[in-house]
Amino acid sequence: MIELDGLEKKFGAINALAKVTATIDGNIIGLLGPNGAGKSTLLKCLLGLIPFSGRATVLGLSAATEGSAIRDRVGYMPEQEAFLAGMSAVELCTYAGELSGLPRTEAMQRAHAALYYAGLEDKRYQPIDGYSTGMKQRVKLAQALVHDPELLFLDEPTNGLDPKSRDEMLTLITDLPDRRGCAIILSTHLLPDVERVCDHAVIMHQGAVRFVGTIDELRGARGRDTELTVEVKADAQKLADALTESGATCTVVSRIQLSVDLPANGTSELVFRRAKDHGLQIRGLEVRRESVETAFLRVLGDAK
Amino acid sequence: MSETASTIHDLGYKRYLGTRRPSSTRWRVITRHQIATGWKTWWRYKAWLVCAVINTVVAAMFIFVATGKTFHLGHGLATTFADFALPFSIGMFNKIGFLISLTIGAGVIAGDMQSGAFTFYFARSTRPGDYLLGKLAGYGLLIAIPTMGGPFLVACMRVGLAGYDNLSELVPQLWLLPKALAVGALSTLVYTAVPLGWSAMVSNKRYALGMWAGYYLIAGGVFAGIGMSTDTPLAAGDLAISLNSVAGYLFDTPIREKFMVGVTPALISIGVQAGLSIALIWYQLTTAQKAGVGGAT
Repeated sequence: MIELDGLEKKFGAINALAKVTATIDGNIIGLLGPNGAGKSTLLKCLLGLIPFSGRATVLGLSAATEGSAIRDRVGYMPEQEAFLAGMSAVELCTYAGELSGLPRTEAMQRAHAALYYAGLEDKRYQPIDGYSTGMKQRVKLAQALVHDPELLFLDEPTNGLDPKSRDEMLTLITDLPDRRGCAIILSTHLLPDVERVCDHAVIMHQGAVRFVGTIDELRGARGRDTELTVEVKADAQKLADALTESGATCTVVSRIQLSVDLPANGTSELVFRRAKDHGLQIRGLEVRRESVETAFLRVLGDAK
Repeated sequence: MSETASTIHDLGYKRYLGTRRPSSTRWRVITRHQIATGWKTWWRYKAWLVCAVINTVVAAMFIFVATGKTFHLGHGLATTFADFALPFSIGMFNKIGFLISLTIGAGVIAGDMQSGAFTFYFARSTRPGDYLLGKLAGYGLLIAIPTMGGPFLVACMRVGLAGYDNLSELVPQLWLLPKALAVGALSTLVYTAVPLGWSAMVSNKRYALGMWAGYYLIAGGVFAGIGMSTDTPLAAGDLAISLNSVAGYLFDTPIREKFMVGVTPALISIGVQAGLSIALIWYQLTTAQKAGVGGAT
């Protein structure tokens, strides 16, 4: 979907993108990174808005020379308000469709469909100026969808939403790839959102891509199966003591659950053996995985 | 992924397989939208259009009713009502053009900057050139109806209603038509490009309106005052004087020299101010295109 080969962008002495090479694919991709990581610059390069050196292709089109064609096939939902004063949602979305090359009738039909899909229903005829934050977010999503893009850039789509609206927005985002066949690049501060909806992640830091891969790969990126979460029928403390004697590091989470860091050459066999020795029954055992937030911080930490 | 209670509303999505209009036609969409926006509220445009119609009717009455009567302008200057009706109505049409520039023009780009609409435009295949051309054409057309269409209509009436004894008297008067169009085109340029330039200066409609009004009325007045008192072409800095001077020259109107500047400085002044305005808009647009989209985290 997106291929970057030696992508470089400098603003004076500042290297905003430092020879980035990556292949980005997936259905819903989280674009993560601290402020100044280069995400905005990357988006601008991908949309063909600013010149750069190196090669970048989006949907098989060169971002350097075919920016206009890319923008016809890509939808962008901005973080900030980007409306036209005095317009109703349906007028705005129709106008957006026409500006993306759709004939007027088609643009109008798709504007109604996109707004209905975004959950605005009858409110789509009202002026946007009077909308709540949640409704404005829905209009932003609809205007990004109206021209039938193959790829969507969503910039903080759940910003300022109450829990119910946030849930509804995330449901829509999750539904989009299946129903409309469009991939999504989701730029957000909210890592729980990424954890919930994304299947892939791109982590940027200091102008470089530090991680590209699936969320599962990100969370288990250390590739260790010596970090376990163990659940016992009772007396987790007793198993913890026994494993500590065998060189493991244990943290009792609750009466029935403990975290275990096995010694370097240890396997889960050790846990079962020590449990059997002490007459304890193992109810569950799984390789402990990081949350996206922990993994994100670890990737940034590794990069420093 | 957690379960949610929210419902997906779908009217039956189908991928769009039709052809897309070429990106070179985007400016027409913007033009149409600009015209529709201007037409929307009666006080922004339609009210001034009514004034333009009244002005045309009054001019027609003077031409038809008082054709041969002499009109004394003071300082020994005199002309017939029929001859004076056209340049006088042009002055009124220009005033209407200025009023439209206040109610619509000054807010066109400032309003888009204020509402973040540049992101809306430039995240699509719209290019700065499409935006510029679309806005100039759309708003320009709204301005051209009174400032170009009005004088042309009055010129037509001057040719058709004034009454001629023979064809040889009529033929020279036909030159009034292209002259009226030329003056109207200049007025359209002035009241389109310059207020849009001021509109591109600030991202606040009211400030843009105040700045344009201040520039046209106060700075223009200062230029005119200095020019008149020093007898230099500096008065051409006043756009109204420049337009009146060109009109006066083309229609050979007896206006006191004190209130006129030469045609060359007038045209240079109009050209420079319109050119600078368009250059400023272009700069703002290209800057906004590069700055308008981005990530967040």
